[in-house]
Amino acid sequence: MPQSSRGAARLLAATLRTEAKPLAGVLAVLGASMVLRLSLPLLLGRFADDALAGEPVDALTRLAMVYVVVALVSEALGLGVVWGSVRLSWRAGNRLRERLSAHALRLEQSWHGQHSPGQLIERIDGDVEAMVVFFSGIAIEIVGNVGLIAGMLVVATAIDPWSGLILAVTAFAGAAVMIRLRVAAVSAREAERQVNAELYGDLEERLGGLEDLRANGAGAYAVYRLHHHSARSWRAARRASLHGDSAHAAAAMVFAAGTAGTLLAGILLQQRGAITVGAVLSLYRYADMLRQPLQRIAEQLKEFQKAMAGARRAATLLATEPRITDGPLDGAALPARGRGRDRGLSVDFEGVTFAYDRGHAPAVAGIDLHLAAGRHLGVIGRTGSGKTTLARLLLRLWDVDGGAVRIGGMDVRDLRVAALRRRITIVTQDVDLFRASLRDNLTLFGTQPAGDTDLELLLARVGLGQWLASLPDGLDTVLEGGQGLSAGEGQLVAFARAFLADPDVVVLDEASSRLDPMTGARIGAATRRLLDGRTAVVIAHRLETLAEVDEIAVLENGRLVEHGNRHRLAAAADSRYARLLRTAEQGLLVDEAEEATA
Amino acid sequence: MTARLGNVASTTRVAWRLARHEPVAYALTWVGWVTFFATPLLTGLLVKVILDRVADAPDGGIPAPWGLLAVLVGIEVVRWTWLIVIAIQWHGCWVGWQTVPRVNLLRSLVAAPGPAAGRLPGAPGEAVSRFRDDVQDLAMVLDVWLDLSGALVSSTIAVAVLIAIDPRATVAIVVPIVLAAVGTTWLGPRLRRWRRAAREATARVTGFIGDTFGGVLAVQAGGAEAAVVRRFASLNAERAEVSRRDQVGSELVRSLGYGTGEVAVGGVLVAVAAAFRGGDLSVGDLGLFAAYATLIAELPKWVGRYLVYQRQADVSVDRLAELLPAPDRRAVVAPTATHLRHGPPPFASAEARDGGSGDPPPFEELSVEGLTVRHPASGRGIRGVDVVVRRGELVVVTGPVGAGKSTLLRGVLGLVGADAGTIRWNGVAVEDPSTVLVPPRAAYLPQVPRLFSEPLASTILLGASGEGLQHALWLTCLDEDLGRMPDGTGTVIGPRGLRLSGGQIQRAGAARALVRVPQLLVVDDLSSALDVETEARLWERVADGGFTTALLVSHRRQVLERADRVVALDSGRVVETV
Repeated sequence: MPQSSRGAARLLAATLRTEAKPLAGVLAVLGASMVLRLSLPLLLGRFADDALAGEPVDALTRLAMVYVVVALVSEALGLGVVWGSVRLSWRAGNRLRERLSAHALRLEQSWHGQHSPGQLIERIDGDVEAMVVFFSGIAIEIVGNVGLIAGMLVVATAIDPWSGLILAVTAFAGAAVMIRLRVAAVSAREAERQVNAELYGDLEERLGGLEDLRANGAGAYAVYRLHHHSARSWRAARRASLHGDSAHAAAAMVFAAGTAGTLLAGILLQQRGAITVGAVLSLYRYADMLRQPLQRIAEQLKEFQKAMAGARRAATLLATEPRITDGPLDGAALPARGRGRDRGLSVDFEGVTFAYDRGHAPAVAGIDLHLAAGRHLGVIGRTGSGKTTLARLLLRLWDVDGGAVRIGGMDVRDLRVAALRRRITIVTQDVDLFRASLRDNLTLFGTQPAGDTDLELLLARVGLGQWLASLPDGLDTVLEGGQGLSAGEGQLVAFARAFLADPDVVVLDEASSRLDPMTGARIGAATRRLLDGRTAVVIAHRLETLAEVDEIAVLENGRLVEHGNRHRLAAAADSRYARLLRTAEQGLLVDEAEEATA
Repeated sequence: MTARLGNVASTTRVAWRLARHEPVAYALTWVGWVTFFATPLLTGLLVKVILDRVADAPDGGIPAPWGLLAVLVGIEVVRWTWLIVIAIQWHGCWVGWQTVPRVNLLRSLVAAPGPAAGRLPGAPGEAVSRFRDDVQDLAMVLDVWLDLSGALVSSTIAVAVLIAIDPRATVAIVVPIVLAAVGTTWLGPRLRRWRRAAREATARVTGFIGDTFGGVLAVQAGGAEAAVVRRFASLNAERAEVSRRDQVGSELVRSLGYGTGEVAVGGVLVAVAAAFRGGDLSVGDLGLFAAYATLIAELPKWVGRYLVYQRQADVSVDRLAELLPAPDRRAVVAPTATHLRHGPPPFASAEARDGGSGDPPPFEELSVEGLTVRHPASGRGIRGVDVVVRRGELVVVTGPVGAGKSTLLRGVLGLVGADAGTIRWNGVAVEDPSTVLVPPRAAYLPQVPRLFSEPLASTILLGASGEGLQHALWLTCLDEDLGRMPDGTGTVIGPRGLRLSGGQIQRAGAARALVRVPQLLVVDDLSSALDVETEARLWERVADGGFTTALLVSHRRQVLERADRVVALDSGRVVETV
């Protein structure tokens, strides 16, 4: 068995093991319901025999009542089986979903760069859904139908070995014909799907180019193409039907022959006095019952394949090891939090080198930089110079290839990831808002517990007091994924989130570059409050954003080309920072200013 | 009920009109299905006769009923062979039912008077779902009529036969089945509500996954992984609850259809115990009751489906009618040839000109007065624009981004609806430019032409005759690119084929317009993807080729210099005409 299939099987077994007891219960009820269903034809035969034997009407009526009750109970049990299996498969499925999503959340940014949210919806929900659908109905149904067929054969054999044999042969031949012909029909069905895909594909393209068609008088030709594709679809559908429905019909004929054969065997035996007329009736009913479960099984093999494919992909995802792993130390290893204005932790880059792809040019190389606790550093440099990379290494969203990143003197790799990220926060220009209440967006679903008053105060502090007052449901207002929120408001929400985390180190990555000047001023005030008393790394496009930092670092092609006290650099006429400042007075962004000074 | 648009033909009427397109085919399929449904009535009777023979046989027996058994097998063989025939017939009809509305709608979208913009829903993916899913919903109604007819006819005959044998037993069968039908109908709307709730819960879960991993940076950087999984679990739990209700509800409906048959058989046994004991009923009758009970028990299922499909189609037909210029439910299924069996007749290139065949009188002048187009969403557009193009003139429209240049061209061509203004062609007012300003009078090159996934030659010609192809390729300098394409003009390009560069796409679009030899060329900013040199060469060849009359958008100095007149637009108004 290939590795992935074994993984899938193991995953399925592990998922179901937790549900072993309920599963056993469901199977027991299923067995009972099958036994009851099997007894119905026997009861019918018995009724006929008893009546022919001249039993009193009362006894017959009682027997008939038993029949009604058995039919009702077996149906009720069947519903119970569905109820039970649906419950347990949803429970197991959701557990697996949660496991998958927890695992995917542990995987590093580079992995997420290759897997879009859409793909993850498919992995975490779609694949599991296929498994849930399978286990909540189909698996149980297959087990039930196999049981039913086996039971029928046993009972029929008990009545008479010959008719049992005929039924067995019928079941076997019918199944063989069904599977064989179904396989043969696959290529015709595939061809039909292909033709239809072309039809819809062509329609989609032409509908997208409607104006090109109209203005160039090519409408009639588009209609002609539709006719052409439709005619192909017509032929393909009829061909697929010829193959598919022939398979269906052939299997049905086998079953019909089986029914006639069983009937014949029964009659011959009855003539010799070996079995009763009632038994003949029972056998006939069994032969008639045989077709349905077999057909269901054949139909559902496809679902089984889908579920297995889902399980395989889920197993593969779970087998993907995160590259960012917890270090041995927890937060206590870091210097204790100061109070009030000196909460900062020092930040060090020691000979840091990092490349996004192995073998490619490094994004940053040989960075040595010390930032004392509580100091604010402004980082400037052109797009692609490695500013954002530095920020991400600090948060350990990636691990360095060489050198070390230290925070409070500790290598970030020695710390538990959660402990590190509790002390350091990032605000980026892309604000990630969730379709959840404002409260959940601020506390990140309760990661940072806070009371309503605290949150209201906080929003007032970042300048969102009026905005909050305008919301229909206050903190419970659901933010529709950033819609209806201006860029500035979204940014301020992100600032509020950062405040709430109360970190020792703050990283602002181009946090205000997209905003208009008015909003920029509001953000400026919020920024000052946020950075006060903490260590900060501020990455910026606009030099005026850096008007209040203590130090400036200039990056160029992944290398640190200048680092020093802001005032001193500004005063030194030949420093890059000073040159940039002069150009920036003309209102240029750093990028353009650099172009200009280059 | 849903509010219906425009012509208020009921969905049943619409479906009936669709069925009447090919009345013979539908009638054949109908008869086929009904006989297929009804054959078990016959086999049931046959088995009854066989069982009676056996039961009544004197001790010592009778010869085995070989003949009857052979007939039994024969009927089944005929029945299933018959199924193959009607299934093939049905599949043809199924495609036909979908082709009629599709052809009607596409024809209307590409050729009906008035702008097509705004009639289609936003994304083409959404538009194609109208042509696929909504059309299928309508076809489902015709399909479920067949099943329902079959079930109704066979149930009616079955009930009649049963009444003839024993009325009390018949009541015992019919009562539980009617109860089941009532139950199914009662559950129907609830099931739909539960299904909707389940879908919404699912959407919340998938939306949450999408959000979480869309904002995975914030989640990881904020250390919120555990909290996110907790929230995910609570959404999952809510979804599990509503989904369980939905699934068990559906199973209940299935069980009402399936299990009622057996209960009905039991009811019959209770009802006939005395008669059977007294010899008024035979073993065969018993077998017959059992067989017919399961047959009649199918009926509620089909009634339920009929109601569901009918309601679905109510909505779908409305959505289809919205695609027409004026919503019209009946026009969706207007009579039209489908050409399914033999394919459409060869495309006559003359037809390719939607504007009609034959040479129109020579072009003298196009005049646009006070053209006003407002985009309903943004409120922007053009206001009171005047433009004149005479034979042999090059008129260039220029202006900053968002000035309304493209809107002006699209307004002149009738691709967007005008709020005011007159367009005259050779002095005659044009009522509907979208059907008049087309080849051979005018042809259009949009800023980003849409090429389709087909051979390069086809996507340029789009049904026009191939004579002018080589010339058009030369005019647009595409002849030089052909050498680099694997199959020359037969190379499949477009989204599913070879990817062309932006410049190649624009030049293919230009070839598409030129091959139609229009009297007036309407061109939207050719320079956006072409280098200066190629563009200059192209214009030179085009002018030499006799295409001297053009209305075009451009910023290029060389083009502006050659212009006979320049119309400068800003914020939707003409600021200068030189």
